[in-house]
Amino acid sequence: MNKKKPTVFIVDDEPLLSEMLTDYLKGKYAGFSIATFPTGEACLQSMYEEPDIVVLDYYLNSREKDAANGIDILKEIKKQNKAIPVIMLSSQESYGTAAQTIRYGAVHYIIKGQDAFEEIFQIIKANV
Amino acid sequence: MVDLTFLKKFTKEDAQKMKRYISLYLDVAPKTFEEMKRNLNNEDWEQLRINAHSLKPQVDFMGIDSLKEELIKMEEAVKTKNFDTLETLFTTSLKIATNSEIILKKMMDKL
Repeated sequence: MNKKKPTVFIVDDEPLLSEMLTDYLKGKYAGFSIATFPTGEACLQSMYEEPDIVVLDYYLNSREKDAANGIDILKEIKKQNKAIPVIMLSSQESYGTAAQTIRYGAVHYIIKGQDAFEEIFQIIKANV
Repeated sequence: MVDLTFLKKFTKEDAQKMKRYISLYLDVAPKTFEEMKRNLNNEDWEQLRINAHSLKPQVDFMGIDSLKEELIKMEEAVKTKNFDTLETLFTTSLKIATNSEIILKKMMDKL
C-alpha cells in the first residue's frame, strides 16, 4: 500500500455486507477511510472526494427497482475518472458477467461469499 | 440448519458484533421474502431472481446452507424459465427462512 490513509468507497444496497466489509477492512488496516453508499447514484454524488478505490456491487437494484445497476455506475465512474480502480462484487459465478465488468474497466471481479473479504483487502492493498 | 462457525471466526467471537450482524440479517431477510412474494404474485420473474440472488450471500454468512441451496434453485428456475416450479421453491425457502430466523433469535439471546 503506497497511501497512508486511502479512501475506500463501498457501494452495496445490502447493509450487512457493507458493515461486515467495513469492519473487516478497518480490522486489517486502521488507516482506511471508508464511506459506504446504498446506491450508485449516492456514490456518484460523492466522487468529488476522489476515492482511491471503489468496491461496487453488480446488482444495486434489489431494494429499489429503478436504481442504476453496478455496470452503469462503473461506466459513469470511469467516464469521470479513468484512473480510479473499481472492484466489482457479485454473487454470480459467471465468466460472462466477470468479463463484461473487466471490459468496462473494473480492476477485479470478486464473488460475494465467505472468502470475499480477504480477497477484497488484498486487491485494495495492491491498488492504493 | 444454522451454523454460525463463519460468523464466530469473522468476528473473533465478539458477541456484540455477532448480534449486530445477525440483527441486520433479521431485518433484511423477512422484507426480502415479502418482496419475493410480491414478485411471485406479479409474475415479475427477473426481480424475483434478483431478490433471491441478493439474499444469497447474507444467508451464506449466517450459515443457513439449506436456504442458500433453495435460493440458488430459484435463480436457476428463472434462468431456465421453469416458472411453474417457483411457487414450491418459494414456499420451501420461506419455511426454512422462518425457522432459521427463530433459531437465530434464540442464538442472539444466548450471546
